[in-house]
Amino acid sequence: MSQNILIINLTDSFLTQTSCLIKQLYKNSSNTDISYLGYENSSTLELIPGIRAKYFLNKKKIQKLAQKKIFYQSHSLNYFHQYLEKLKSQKWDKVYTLSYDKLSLYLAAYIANNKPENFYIDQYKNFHSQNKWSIYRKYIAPYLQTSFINEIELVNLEFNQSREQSVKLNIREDFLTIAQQNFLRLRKKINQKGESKKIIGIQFYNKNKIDVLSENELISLVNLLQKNKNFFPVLIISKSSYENEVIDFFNTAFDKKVVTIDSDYSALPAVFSHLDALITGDNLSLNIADSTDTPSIFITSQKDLRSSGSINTNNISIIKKSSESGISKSIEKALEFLTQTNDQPLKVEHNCFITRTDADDFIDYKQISGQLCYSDILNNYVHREFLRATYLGKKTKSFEQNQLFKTPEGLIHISQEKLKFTNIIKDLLDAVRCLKEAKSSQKHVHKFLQSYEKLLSHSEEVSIAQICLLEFKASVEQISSDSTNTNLKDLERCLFGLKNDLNIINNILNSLSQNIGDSKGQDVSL
Amino acid sequence: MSQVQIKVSKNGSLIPILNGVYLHSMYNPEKEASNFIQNNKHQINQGNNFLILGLGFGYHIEALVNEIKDRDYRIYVLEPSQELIEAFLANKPLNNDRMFIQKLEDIKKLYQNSMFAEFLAEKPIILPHTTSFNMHQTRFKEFLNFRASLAIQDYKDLIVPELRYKFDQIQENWTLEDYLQFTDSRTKIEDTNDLLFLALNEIFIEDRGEV
Repeated sequence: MSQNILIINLTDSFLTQTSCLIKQLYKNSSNTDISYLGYENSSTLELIPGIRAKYFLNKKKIQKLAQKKIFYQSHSLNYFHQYLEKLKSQKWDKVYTLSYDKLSLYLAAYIANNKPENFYIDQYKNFHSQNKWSIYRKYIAPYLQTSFINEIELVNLEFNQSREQSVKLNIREDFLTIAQQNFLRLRKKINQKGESKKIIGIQFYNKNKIDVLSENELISLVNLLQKNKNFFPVLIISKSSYENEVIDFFNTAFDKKVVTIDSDYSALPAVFSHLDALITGDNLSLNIADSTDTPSIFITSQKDLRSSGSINTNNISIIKKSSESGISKSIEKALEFLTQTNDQPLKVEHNCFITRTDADDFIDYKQISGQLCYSDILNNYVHREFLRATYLGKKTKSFEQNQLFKTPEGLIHISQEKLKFTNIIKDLLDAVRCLKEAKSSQKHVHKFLQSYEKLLSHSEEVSIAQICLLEFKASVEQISSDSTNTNLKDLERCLFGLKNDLNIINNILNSLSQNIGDSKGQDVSL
Repeated sequence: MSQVQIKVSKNGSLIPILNGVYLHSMYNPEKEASNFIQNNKHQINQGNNFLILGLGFGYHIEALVNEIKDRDYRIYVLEPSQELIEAFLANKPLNNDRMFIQKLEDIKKLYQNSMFAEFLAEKPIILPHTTSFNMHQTRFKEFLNFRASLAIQDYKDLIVPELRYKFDQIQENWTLEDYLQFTDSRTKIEDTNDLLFLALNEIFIEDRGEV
């Protein structure tokens, strides 16, 4: 029997999230009709296979009809209602939302008569889900300063999909034919003396209008790659005026010897499928390169690799520090590694190179070299092991970075984390005690609320226990009753849930300390 | 009641005379219309939706359509004189489904029309036909300066029946934003329609730049 499914995604990162889910839905049943509701973005939506119908929410029109003084606001309301009724009347078998902002949640609930697939909203406007990963995506991931799980992985985990290397996006036949002809001509031209140079695509600008590479870095990179006998760089641009200015400058500086490919997103799959490697700072392009199995180097100025939505474990991310020179050399070395044109192992002096290794549960980030950040390494390890234990029901794995933490700085960092952890435990026990008093007499409720707020304030600090506190916060938000006594009982349940979670963190921390042989630091006990 | 006479121009075209005023050139109304388009070309190239103030006998509109015929356009024409509209339709039947003639009579009612409101929300280019505009200046200015009442009670009958019941017990001067904020602040959801209002509130919040 055919299933009529609606996917709602009102985020910027709709491409791969949506593709992953669609692929899974078709795997479950080939007799599926999938429709999509998002904000209008036609050239990239074309890339997603398997969508029968597309609906676009025209937020601006709704706002305009309400805002402008000439309009009765009934127009805005009626237009919105009419639009949603058109969707609601289609009697979906399933409605999924991939975006977890309030607007998406309310829309999904309204269209699906409050029975969307991955959650429901109770009468107190609380969001509930049976799926721990939905809770994680809504309440935890957005509040972590750094996270090792990127958005595609989270969607895979939420919808219980096996992780695959990439999701195939649509490639238009006409673009593919043109790209094939052009690249054939180019390869003939650059390999006239019997070489076999690798064509390297460079995007120096991303869709958020941020410089991936400064002009100087770009010049230095192009120069370096042109001198390398293995590579032939080409610049890939969209039609922005900034990029055109840079290209004009390049045509002068390089005497028109730099090849430029002008392409919008809908043509990129065809272009990338003919590149030997890609250098980019644009997440969407990285996803497209994933889809075409094009080895890529992702340049980012952020430590948070959650922003890089690639699940191809062969890709490399380079974290660019501001006003740092030498990135061109790092990129060149990374390219040699990726394209296997150099046997030397990858080691970089200046920049932080991270590659992914395919651990069995999560894609893990293995740091090759560069400036160390104890906080990130430790938090990510503890966070990952906590998820392995509580979300996946698996045994924790040992800490691989022991040697790093056997240094004086590493040991100091562990002590600091233990101290933070001890303070959180203290505040938890205080809150439990105050709650007991509040249950016996309502005059103690105020005191309990103060201790509760103090405990909750830790959820905003970066620490190894942050995930537990965010989970606790999520569980408390779902408490909904008109009765104070019932609410206090539910709070007690949440506090004991937090205590159990902190116990797990505690065990991980103690085992880590043993691994390191940290005899000086005191073990925390609950 | 206005009086419409029709005369023939020197080049054989029909010219309406409304209350003694010639609405187009008695020599060559087509050329006059073409000049009108040329003088407004920069504006005309800014969009595909047009609001023409004054029908005349449509020469300026035909010239406009000729100019933009390859685009996906829509034209609304506002004309205060019913007699002129009838004379126009009698002599030049309308064959264009992308053009709408609207009598400018009850301005409040016009703004209550959802199709017209949605057209205005697209920010059409406003092109006044000079002669017509001067003849009916007060009326056109009233149209351009109109301000809709924000109080729900003043437009409650315009709201779709499925949602109207929600506003049965609101305070007198409440605007839609007041109602949305009230729905958002309530602890409980009463029915599924509340989800629609909560969603709409999120759209309004974003517009106000609140996060």
